[in-house]
Amino acid sequence: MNPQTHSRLGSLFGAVALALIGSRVAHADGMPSTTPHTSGTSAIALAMFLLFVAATLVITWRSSHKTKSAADFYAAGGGITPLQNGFAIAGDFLSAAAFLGISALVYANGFDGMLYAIGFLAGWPIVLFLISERLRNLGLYTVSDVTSFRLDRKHVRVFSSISSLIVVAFYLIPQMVGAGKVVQLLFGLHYVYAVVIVGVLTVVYVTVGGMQATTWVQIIKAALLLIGGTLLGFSVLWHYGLSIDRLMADVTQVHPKGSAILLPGGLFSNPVSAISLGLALMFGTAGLPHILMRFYTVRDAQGARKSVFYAGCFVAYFCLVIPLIGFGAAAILMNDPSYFTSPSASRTTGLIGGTNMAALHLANAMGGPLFFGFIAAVAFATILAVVAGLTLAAASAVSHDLYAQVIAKGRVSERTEIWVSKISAIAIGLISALLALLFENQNIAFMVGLALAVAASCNFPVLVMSLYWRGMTTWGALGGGGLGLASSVVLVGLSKTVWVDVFHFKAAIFPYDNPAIVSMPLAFLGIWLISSLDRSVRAASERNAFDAQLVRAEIGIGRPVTAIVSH
Amino acid sequence: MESLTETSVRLITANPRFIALVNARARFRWALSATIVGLFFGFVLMVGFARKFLETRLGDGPFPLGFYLAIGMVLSVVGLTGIYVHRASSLFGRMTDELVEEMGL
Repeated sequence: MNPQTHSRLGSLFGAVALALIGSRVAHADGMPSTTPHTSGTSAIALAMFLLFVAATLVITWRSSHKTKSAADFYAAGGGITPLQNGFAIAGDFLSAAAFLGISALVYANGFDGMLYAIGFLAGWPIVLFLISERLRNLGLYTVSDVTSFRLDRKHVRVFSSISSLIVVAFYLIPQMVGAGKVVQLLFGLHYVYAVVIVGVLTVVYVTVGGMQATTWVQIIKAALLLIGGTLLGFSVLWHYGLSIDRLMADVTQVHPKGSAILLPGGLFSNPVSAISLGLALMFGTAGLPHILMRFYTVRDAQGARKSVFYAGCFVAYFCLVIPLIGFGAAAILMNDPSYFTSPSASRTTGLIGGTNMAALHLANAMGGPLFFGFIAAVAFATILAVVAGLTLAAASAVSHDLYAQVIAKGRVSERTEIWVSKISAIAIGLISALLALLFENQNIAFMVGLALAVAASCNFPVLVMSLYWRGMTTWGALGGGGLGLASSVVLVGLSKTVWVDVFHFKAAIFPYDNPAIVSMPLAFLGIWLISSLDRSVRAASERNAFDAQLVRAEIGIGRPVTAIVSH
Repeated sequence: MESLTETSVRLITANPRFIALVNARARFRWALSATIVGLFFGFVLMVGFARKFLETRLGDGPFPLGFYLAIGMVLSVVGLTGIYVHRASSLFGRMTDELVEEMGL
């Protein structure tokens, strides 16, 4: 790295710090703080936050030394170990939704929130059994490398980059909302500025450091999140003398839902809705571009397999800790009116900063400003890292799939390709910040459910059918995948979340919150039907090429070498 | 490593070791996938239709049965992925090595 870039980083960092400190000063000048409970804590929280940002910028800077080729930029040169990658994958997956969103759902809905957590977890075995090894054996950097193995390169790449971009956009919204809320609560900054800061930092990580930096930020953040979550959960247990019985007794006493908090409640009362959400959670993970991309950062299929196993273990552990945090927050915060917007505010929805902030308030109650600052920094880091990973995945879809392979037809230098991806990263950061302003008050775990529904309805069916079904043709993939993509997006638009909450119409046209139960079967049906009807010459040669794909998928022979050259 | 020629693809796909590997792995993969899908949607359906059953109390503990089943789901995910990784490395890894050696790949 040259000194110029270094100083650019330095000045950017300084600008962010100034913006934050500036906002504190503004509050001290007499502007009423919206966060009474955190007013004395922000100096420590600010320090924690800046420390993390500084640390990650250093990592980004250091790793940009190593990022020379496209393989480095997209896949960290294939030199990440499975354990590191497991951390990074868990880091990618344990987003704002897991930490803030699910603990908020458990806080407000009890048992139902746990069901969400289990749904998130249940996607991992599917990724491991069906996707990870074959993906690693077949691909280079992105999922489209795999689907275009025997299908028409151009068409398939255009489709999968568009679907990846849409999934990433859906997934980015809740992350940005979460980040905005944390910063708003932490520093008393306006939500809009908070979202802008997250956007700027993300673009820096991705454009300067690429996959190397994003991976390392992700690993550190995953470790921090596991430590922070464990500490928070343990502090609740400690508070109740290590007795879960006493904790639950308190929860049932103070929670408006009483002892019903331990039972399945309204969130999943409609079985059709529950199955729809279940489908999205279970199969959506296997269609998330930023997760699938991580299989290329390890050396081989065995590495990919092991990383999924490690990631699954981390996520499983977190699934056990999160309910503890949610219930702890209910037991401890609901008795203390100072955490609510007004003393008479609803105990489930009236938390300062919204229900999504339950875990942060709990940290303040358990360990005071220092702990609050630490957990806030962890939550923020979590989101920042996920947003960076998502942005990188989206940028690769644009530069590697759309630009390099389709528009320039493979005749492009690596330099130009990386440059295009950096431009894309900036555009994506901007768009996601804008979208975050629209969806300010949605539960973030719920929003992630929608992103997963879209992923389960376009990326997952196309990927799984191209890996396992000889009969699939390009037209089948485009038709079926397009059907799934369009129907899932349209149905989200017609459901309560958008139709009523954003556009303020009276009643939702689509009765279920999650579209997967309709859109996912539609995608599979479309792929099957259109492929079966496809009698073209190209279709015949695509079916014939399945054997070559199978050999490479099973034993990894003939794998492209670029991603594994270093080391 | 280079791309495979059509002839070598035909040779490999006709090799009994390759066929055995593909079939064994497919059986294992789909059986485990069906297990986790069955467990998860069984649980989801139970929440929808067998609420009373999930509300059953076990002894004097604070938790109803549904809670323990939820914890059980988490543990079974870890268990199933563990089994898969173990077998993929031991049995299927060995089968792949034997195949690669026999065919001189």
